Amino acid sequence: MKVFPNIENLQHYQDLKDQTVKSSDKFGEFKRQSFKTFLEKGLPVSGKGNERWKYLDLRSLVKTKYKLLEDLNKTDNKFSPDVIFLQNAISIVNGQVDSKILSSMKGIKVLEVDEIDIGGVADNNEDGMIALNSSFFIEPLCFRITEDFNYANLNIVFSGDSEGQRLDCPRLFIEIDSGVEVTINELHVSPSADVLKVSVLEIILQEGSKVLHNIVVNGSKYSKDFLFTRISQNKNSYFKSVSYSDAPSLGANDIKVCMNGEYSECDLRGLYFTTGSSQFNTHVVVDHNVPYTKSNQFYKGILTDNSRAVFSGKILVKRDAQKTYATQKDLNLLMSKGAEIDTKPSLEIYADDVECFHGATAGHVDENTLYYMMSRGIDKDRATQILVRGFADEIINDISDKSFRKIAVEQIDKILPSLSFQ
Amino acid sequence: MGPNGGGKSTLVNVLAGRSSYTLDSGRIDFESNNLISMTIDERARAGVFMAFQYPSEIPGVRPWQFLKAATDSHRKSEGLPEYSVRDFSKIYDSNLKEIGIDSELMKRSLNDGFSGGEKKRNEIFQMMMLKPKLALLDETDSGLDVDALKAVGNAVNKLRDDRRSFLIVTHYQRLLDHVKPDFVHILIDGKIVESGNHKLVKKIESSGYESFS
Repeated sequence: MKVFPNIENLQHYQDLKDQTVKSSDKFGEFKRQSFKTFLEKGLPVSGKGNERWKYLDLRSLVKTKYKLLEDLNKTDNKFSPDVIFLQNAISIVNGQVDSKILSSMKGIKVLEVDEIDIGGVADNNEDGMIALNSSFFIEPLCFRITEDFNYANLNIVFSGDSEGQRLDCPRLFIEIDSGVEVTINELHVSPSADVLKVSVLEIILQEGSKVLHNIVVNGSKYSKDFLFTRISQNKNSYFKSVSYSDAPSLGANDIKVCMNGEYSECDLRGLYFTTGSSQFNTHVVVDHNVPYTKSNQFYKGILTDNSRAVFSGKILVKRDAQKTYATQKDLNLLMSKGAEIDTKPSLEIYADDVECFHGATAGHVDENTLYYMMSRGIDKDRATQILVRGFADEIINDISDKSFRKIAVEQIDKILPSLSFQ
Repeated sequence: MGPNGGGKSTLVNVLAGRSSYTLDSGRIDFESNNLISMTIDERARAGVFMAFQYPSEIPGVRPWQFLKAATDSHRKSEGLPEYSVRDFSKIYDSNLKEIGIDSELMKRSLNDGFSGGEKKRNEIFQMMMLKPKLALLDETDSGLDVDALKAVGNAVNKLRDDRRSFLIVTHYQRLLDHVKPDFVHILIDGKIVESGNHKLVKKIESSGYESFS
């Protein structure tokens, strides 16, 4: 169904495509096909028939004619992210990858276009946003992590300068060799500008591999950050994702895990912290395609001011996926009268010998708990902050990498004192 | 002391400042303060402490962190500097040992998964840390085993001096075997119907509350 709202914008993206997809582009054919899909799907601005996005107001996405980097004056030198302390860091500035470090890292093999199945895990047909990224990424970062990889972690830092009305489409494709264990940290530092960033990360976990994936999104009140993570798990593999996202003006953490190998396991956790008038969508899907797989989804939200968040989680158990064990939980703390959460955990089960659990809650800070804390001499604001921090810590403490966890903790501690809880 | 529904818990909660109670008239003088005009935390910093009958479980908040915040608030209001982490930990560990709480238990979130008895011990531990001028113990003895009861009694006796008061709500004689009260009051339907010394407890044990109503 076409949900593109106006022809003027359609023409804008058509022009953009003509400028960017050159005949020499190695991914030219893939991009052209992706653009066709994008035209069919459009941006998800219409509420009708649009289950994933219907609770959010995305109309601002089509009010602006976002441009790609080539249209703008290059301002690379103006921007220097203050996250250079992260070692083993791949820097993605304005959607463009600086992959120099990759060639110097042992255990990383950069993949050529014919060695990868780009779009094999992240399906363009699933959402117009993914198709948008597939149409406009500039230079995808594709590599394999082999058994020679011997670093504590691999950091990927997304940042950008403050030149506004820009479309960033970073694209990554990572394959993890059999038996390899790796920690991948993904840090998004949003510029203070109206930048629409749609990032797509595809990870294939080969047999017996293990990935700890930590994501921190430091949003700005202007940025629009849409993160799509698509995972394919083979036999005996383990994937854990812990994310922390604070308040881009508009954004999404969209994760889909396909469990394609027996005895594979995934554990997905996240905290969304929305302030001001930000809107944030958490969409998590786990497809259990084969027997003997296990998954967990545990998400929490802290919503303040007039912000709005949506959680939609899904556990899909295919007919053959017997002995699946899957759990899903979403807990929300509403800190103001104007905040709103729409939470929708769901199960779709076609096998008959499975154990699946789901649940969701939304509530305010418990008055009895506040009374208890204040009766020890702690004033109301401080007590509330301690409670909120405690609520957040249950997720944040799961970020496996200590130095990376610190980034999330510092961010929360920076935001908390500035908030007023009604 | 008093029968169920007599107003004992209401009294201590009103003293501590629970917001679900509204006072229509009167005042509560405590030292030079009228408690009614003070918030819950101000009362606490002025020296009022309540050991809860049903302490809250607080996920994600560690007991150490919670008590450090409480102690810091108290010291700040007294114009004293905050304890260093080291100094605070020393006092914390020593009190923990004295009340007999396993330090492993305190690595959990506050009261999270604590047994009834462990929660009560933790209340008394907090009282030992904060050294209140007026401690309100709301049925702290219920659900305690013999050893825990003794530990609570010892903690109260240790703090007990001519600068501190304890208001102990109880149904039973057994805590009073460890803590000899100066006064015993019987509260029925929100009114003190009889006051006396520890001998009054014996009378209640033998003939119940009916003779007072």
